[in-house]
Amino acid sequence: MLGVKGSTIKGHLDMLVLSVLAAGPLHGYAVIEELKTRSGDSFDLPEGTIYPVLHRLEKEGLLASAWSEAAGRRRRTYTLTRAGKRALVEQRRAWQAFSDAVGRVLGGAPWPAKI
Amino acid sequence: MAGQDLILGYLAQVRAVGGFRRDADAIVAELEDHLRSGVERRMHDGLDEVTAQKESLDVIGEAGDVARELCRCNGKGVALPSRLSRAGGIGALIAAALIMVSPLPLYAWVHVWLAGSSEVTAYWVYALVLVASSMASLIALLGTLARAGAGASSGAVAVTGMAGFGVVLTALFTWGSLETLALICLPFGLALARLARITPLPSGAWLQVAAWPVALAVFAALNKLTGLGPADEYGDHPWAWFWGGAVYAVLWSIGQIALGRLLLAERMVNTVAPTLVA
Repeated sequence: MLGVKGSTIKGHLDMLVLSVLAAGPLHGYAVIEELKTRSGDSFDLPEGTIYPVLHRLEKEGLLASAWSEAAGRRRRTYTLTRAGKRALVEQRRAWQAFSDAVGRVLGGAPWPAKI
Repeated sequence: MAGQDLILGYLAQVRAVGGFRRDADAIVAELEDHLRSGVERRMHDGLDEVTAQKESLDVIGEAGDVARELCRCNGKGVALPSRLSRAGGIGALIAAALIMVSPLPLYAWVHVWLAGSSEVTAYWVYALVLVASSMASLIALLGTLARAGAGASSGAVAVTGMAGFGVVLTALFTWGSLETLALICLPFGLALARLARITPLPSGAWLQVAAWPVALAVFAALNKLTGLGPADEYGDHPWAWFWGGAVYAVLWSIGQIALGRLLLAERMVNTVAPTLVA
């Protein structure tokens, strides 16, 4: 299993969180669990770092949150907004383009020795 | 360890740092739900409660770091009490003390002016007190912006620049200070509006924002409408200027005192001592 450091993930965390929430509303702990499950436990991220991201995305209008009662305590659940869905589509497209380009570079033929 | 709740201890540490935010209760509730969910899952996997709590705390991150990240504003400054915000508090109190005495030399200068004397000592004393007070207010503004987590954002640089320009103009044209002081009042309005989103402000703090328009209105009313006292060679009424300046001094000093007390009352948080709640 390849452990990916938090600093590496940080730049992509917005997209990852939006992607996890595209499947349906989740609370913070469930978002982290889903990230771990989907990544095959590859992400080495302090769990507390997810909340500033969730709060910021909500402030930017990409997420909406609602409080409810669960297991005798208050729980905040996040939902992807319409703007969040649009942002996710855009970020997925950008990531795919970047990933394809990196793949071409890494998998490309050796430098041709042109004479 | 039975009966000890490590999670409550952790949340107390978060609150010690993040408690300066308006929404501290919601943040703590959200973190508690996160930690308890983790404990429940680990206990379901077969761990005892204390071990489950320890594991949950290990993976969430150090309480101070988590709270600081939650207090970070748009990835820029951290909206927490700091040395700069405390310096701002001291600056505000100095500014209040200086502006409170400013009506005295202004009063003396109006007498000299109306007597037609060329003696300018009172005028320069007034100018000196007003500029010194404005400079102290500039430090208070920097402290307010720091406390509000504005950091070195373009907005913070813009309002600081505007206030600095206001101090320079006030120094150069003290006789027109009822106009130039707007450049100091307005930045404070913006800085206080930002700070109010993070922590509750004493209502008195807003008086410094009202100081300029109210003082200008008093001056305009006494100068143009009622024509208070004798007029000078330009047709203006120096006593109107005095009362405008006095009203400004009173409102500004009340506002600066309220702000200074707020910034100084908050405990600066550098380290958070670990606590265990039984």
